[in-house]
Amino acid sequence: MRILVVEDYPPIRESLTAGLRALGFAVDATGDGTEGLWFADNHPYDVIVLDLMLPGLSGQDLLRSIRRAGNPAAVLILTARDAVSDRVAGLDLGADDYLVKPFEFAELVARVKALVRRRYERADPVLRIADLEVDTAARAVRRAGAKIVLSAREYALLEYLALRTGQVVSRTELWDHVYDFAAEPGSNVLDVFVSHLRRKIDDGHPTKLIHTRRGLGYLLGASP
Amino acid sequence: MSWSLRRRLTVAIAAAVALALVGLAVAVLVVLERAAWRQFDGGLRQRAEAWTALIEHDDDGYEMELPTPAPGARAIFVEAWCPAGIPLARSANLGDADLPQLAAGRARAVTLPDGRAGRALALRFTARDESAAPAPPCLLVLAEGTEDVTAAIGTARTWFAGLGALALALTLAIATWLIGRGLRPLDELSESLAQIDGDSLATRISLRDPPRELAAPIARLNDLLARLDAAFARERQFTADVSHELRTPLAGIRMVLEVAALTASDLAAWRAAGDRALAVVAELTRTVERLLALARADAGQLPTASEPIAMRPFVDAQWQPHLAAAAARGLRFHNRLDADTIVTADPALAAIVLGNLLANAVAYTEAGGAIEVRAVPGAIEVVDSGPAIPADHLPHLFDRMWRGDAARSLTAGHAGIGLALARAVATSLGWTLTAANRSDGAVVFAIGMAVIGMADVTHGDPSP
Repeated sequence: MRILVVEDYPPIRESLTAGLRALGFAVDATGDGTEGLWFADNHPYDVIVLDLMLPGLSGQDLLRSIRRAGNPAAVLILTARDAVSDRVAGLDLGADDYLVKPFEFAELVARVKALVRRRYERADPVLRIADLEVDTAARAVRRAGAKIVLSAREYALLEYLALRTGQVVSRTELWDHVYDFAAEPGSNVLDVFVSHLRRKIDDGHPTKLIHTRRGLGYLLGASP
Repeated sequence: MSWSLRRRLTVAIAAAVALALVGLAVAVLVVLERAAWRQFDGGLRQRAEAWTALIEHDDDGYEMELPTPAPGARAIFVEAWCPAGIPLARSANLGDADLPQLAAGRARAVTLPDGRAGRALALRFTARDESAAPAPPCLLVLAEGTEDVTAAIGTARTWFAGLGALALALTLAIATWLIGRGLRPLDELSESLAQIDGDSLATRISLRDPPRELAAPIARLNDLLARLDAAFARERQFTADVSHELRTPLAGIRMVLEVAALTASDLAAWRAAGDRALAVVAELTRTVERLLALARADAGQLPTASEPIAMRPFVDAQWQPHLAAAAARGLRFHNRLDADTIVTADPALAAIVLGNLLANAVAYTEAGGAIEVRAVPGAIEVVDSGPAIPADHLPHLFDRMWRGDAARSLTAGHAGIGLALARAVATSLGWTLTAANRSDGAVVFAIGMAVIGMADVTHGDPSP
């Protein structure tokens, strides 16, 4: 899942970025409101973690602007003000959730995951495709009851495909949601990871779940 | 003991009414009683004169025929002396007793021979005379019981007392009711006041029908409420801002450590996270110290020593912490103070004032600009090359937590409390602190103070 962190306080911004990347999220980060708006306008983020007090452009203005443009990204507001009026104002501008500083990293991650589920209209944290189970809370994958060990990147690919089960996901979409700007660009990196993933998921199972649509992209589903 | 207004007014009115009633009653009674006695005495005189007609004088001397009193008639005592001093006749009811031989003229109160209270009147007269020789004058004393008049007067007194008491009671009741009614706006006022607490300072007092006397106090109270409301709002805002300034670095420390716990694979990574967290702790400590200093300045609790400070090296020392930040932004610094510029003040507090002004200059002067500290008569100025402070920002510059750029935070390098603190401390030192834009775009923060050693100060030239 690709996440944008807009927070001007370096210790928080940099730690969030490092922590979320370690959990397999693709993360872009900026400390400037105007730059944050540019990021949000030009890339399909699943979740935007937004501080309200920003130089350049305030978090409120950024939020108003992306909502007016119809950006569907879920927005999690970080605020140091805990007055009810401040929180209500943020939600009223189109935020989906808020966290009051100081917060626990684990709580932020849980809320981000919940926002991703809501974004893809899933209530159950466990995604089930035939006998494949993708537990988005524990980031664990089982097929026919057997645990499958995946790298962070492989898991991210699988989770995005699973969230869009039955749909053809283009390589661009896959790239946009699984890689951030810090990732090394490469045309066949994606194909390499997908083939690793296919081997781990489908090998030894009669029903193949990961399918390639030549010229279109990939599809995860029981029927090809 | 403090009496309620209600009670004071009631007692005052009751006392006034009682006094008036008693005075009136006494006056009326005196007049009435006098009239009664005058009438009684008049009757006495008429009867006495009638009696004198019964005395005759002829050559045999005096003679008097006493009539037999009719049964049931009023008991009248009569005694005559003719000529004066020689008893002539007396009414039978006197028995052996004598009436006093009073001086003629006015009636007087006497005790009657039968023991009752009465009044007696003496008449000196010359009897009807049928002889040739002139008769010497006689004295006739007539006395009569006064119980009828006394009884009437007693009745009148009783009535007056009763009616007076009734009138007083009625007055008290009416006064109590009227005063209660008149003071109702006060009750209403006290009720409205009782409902106001820290959360409802926005309410204003308005009575349904305020009397003119209360209009001014209510207006004053509403003014006071408005001031309190503003002060509370400022405090709330300050508290919210302070909480923001403290929560953000706390969140930073927490994030750094939690993410390190998640990702740090070796000691070096842990050490880096620890250094990072410590840097934030240092920042947080500075913030807390500044807030504390501000609170102490507000409470007038700053410790003040007073010693001469050589300003030139002092300013250089205050600039030291800003060297790196200034270098990063390409700012030049000029200390234009003379070696003999001396200021007498508390060095620690003076450092707060200068340090915050320098920090502000470093944060706001445009990159590549210049900052200078110089002395002018009566002030030391911190001048930066701009940009100029927008005119609408100038009045708020020294407000606590106010930031020219609302999104800028203390933790991002500049203080919303720095200038407020500088001014509060300057004030506690007896200095003034003002900011102004110069026509050439430079910004001047002037610390008004007594400066010694100003002999060869040159002023007016901007940085080279």
